[in-house]
Amino acid sequence: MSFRVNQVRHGLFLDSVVLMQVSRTVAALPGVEDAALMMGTPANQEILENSDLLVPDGESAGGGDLIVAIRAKDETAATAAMDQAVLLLDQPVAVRAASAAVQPRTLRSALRVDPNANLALISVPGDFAAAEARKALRAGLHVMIFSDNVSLDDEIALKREARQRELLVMGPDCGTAILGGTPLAFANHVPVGDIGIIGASGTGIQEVSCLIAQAGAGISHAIGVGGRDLSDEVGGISTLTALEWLESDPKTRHIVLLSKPPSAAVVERISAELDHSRKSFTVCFLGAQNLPLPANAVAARTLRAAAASASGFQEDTSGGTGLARPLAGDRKWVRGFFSGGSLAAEAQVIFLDQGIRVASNAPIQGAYALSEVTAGHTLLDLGDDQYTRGRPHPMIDPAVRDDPLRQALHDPTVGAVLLDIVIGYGASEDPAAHVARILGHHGNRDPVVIASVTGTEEDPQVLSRQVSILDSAGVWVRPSNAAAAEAALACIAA
Amino acid sequence: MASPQVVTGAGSNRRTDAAFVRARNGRGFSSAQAVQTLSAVSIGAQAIRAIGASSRGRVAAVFNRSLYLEFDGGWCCLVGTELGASPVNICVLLPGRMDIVTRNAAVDTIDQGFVIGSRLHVVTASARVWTAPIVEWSEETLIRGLAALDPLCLDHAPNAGLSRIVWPRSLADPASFELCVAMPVVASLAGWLQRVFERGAPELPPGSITKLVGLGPGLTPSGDDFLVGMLVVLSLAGRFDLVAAVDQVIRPTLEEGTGPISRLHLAAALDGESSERLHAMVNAVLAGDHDVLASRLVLISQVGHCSGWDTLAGAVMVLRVLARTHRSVMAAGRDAG
Repeated sequence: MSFRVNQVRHGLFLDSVVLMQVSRTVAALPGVEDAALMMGTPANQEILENSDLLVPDGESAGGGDLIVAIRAKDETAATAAMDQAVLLLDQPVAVRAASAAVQPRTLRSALRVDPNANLALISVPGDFAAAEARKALRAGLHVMIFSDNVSLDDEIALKREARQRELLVMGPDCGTAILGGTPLAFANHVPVGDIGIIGASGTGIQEVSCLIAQAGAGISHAIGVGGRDLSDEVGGISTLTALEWLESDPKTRHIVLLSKPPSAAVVERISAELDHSRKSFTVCFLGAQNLPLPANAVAARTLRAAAASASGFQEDTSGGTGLARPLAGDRKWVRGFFSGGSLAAEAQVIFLDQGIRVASNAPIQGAYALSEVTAGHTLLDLGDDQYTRGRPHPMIDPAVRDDPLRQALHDPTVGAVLLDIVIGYGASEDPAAHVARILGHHGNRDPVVIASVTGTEEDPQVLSRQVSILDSAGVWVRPSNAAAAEAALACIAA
Repeated sequence: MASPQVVTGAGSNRRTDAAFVRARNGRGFSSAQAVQTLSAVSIGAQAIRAIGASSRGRVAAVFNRSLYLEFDGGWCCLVGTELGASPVNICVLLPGRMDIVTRNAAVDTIDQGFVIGSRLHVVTASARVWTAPIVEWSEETLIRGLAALDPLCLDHAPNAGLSRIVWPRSLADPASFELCVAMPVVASLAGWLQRVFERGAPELPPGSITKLVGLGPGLTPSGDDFLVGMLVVLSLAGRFDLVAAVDQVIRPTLEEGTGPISRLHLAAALDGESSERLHAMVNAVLAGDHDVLASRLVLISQVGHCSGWDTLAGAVMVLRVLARTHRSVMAAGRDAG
């Protein structure tokens, strides 16, 4: 016999997104059969009653009250779930209150607390980020600008000022860095080693650093420079500063450069800098062809190739051909839903290199824009601004992927679905379990679902646990994003 | 479009800014705790009414980027500019988060704005009064706009909320309870609109419309959002008689039927206005401006969990009847000719 419990929170107004997130979290707790958090209007009370969720406690609610309603297999599970729901509802306030007591409110007061600090991480609305970054530079701090929506003019001015002051600006829109073994923002727990990474792409840095870690090597520093740093306008100012920094770092043996393709002028400038270096380099400008590089640098077409080149592991490019399942009937298209822009770009490279036409909302050179095609293989970057304005990034809230994923699973023309699962600090607590819930009992039916997990065993979400959850849900898990894309192509060819 | 206006707080019981801060400090507020001054860049009609008729209020709800304020004269919402203007919003350039103030903190109106707790001083003196923009449109542009919008929405409308009534997905997908409740209501509303548009004479909407009030998930329930979209388009179409008819049927149910925040948005919609994002979207459909639909749909989809979609669904239901009615009238005219 199920047990139902309701709690009414009078006059508690929470953002709809928070309400849905708490609902989802509570509904997934052990023993919980159903859960809902709704405003206590008469119409909603009727819905809760029809869902067998309403008990007399909830009937006292008014339209301005919140009803937390849970049905579980027994009283113990229901009570535990209600305790968790209350904790989640109250947590933001409690956390804010606690953190307000110890966190400095200005850059100046932060420096008073720790005068030895040498880096400021700026994460404020874009309109204000440049001013805060300028203050940090003038206080002698290196700057990592997590914020986006900083104007190009501000970025150029900040980077020029930083260069004059012999400081480094990482960003804007820099989501990933690892400095001296310390991960910042979205990054993974990787061992310290002798490979440095300079990247204009966050998930690109994560994929390469994790593959390097899995190969037994480690990272000295991973420096994000922001997606526009290698543009003509910015001219690679931060990349050049980072190169100089890693050049003088005795713990860095080899350096990996990651970006989308820069202009010819910027490539020439970077190449000249590499030519003067005493170190060796791997250059991965995703989608770029025939890069003019000096003898101490090799070009890599994919992130996996970059990691292999830097750490010396042997690439398996077979795509798991022997394991690929032939597609049934009219199922001939691949749908890719990526939380990482660089991972979406890497998959496009793999498709294009095998002569397969592909479309994307963030097309690399040679791929089609979504608006240009009506059918075919599509690889979506769900972290792109068009999906994330005002919403959490899919690495934080994987629910952004739910609707397109469900749609693809029901589409009779889709043969393979391609997913990336990115874990690490800052990422969703259990993204594999979220995907598994959406897949439900999909199992080994068509379309085949293929994924890779970007992460390490030491990450909070634990790589092997994520792989195991996906595996149990019938997902074909490949060891890298490139391998997952190759597997999808192997299915088409089988 | 209204020209920029200056909003000032009138009333003899108002104190000056400096006098207010002195008074607060004199009552024991720490002068070391800085009062952050925010300049409002726009303010909507409902918000003007709320603060204009009041000397005092409280913070009713706190979010990262917005605060709902309850005054004697009504409710309004203080938001960062990135959330956009609306009849209930006071938009400010916000350097940080709003949740530095606490729920139930006192709000005192002063000469050129108001002060929230001891933390925020909002200056409304140079705020532009926001009014919903109106576009030129014809039946031809409307039909073009709807034809371009529907494929986008079929692909992206969420399962939650009510938008799947207007852009249905596979019948195999399970329908939520709110969807089951709302589907026959929306069908009868569409039938009612068809009749009144064709005949021209007003009649009351079906009583089942009250089933939408307070229905569904979210801070503003989906059914309320749907009604907001519907009311806005009826106003844009100049059918204020039908807005009044809806008002007559739903108003008695609002006090008990939904929460104060949703009532605030419904009241604004009964006056013909909603969020800047909804108006921009509806205007693009009306004008057949298909190039901007995708980007505006992205903004709509960012409103709440599914609130943006629900308001758009209500709006599109009316727009479709408008387009259909016109076509049938035209066809009848051709046949007669």
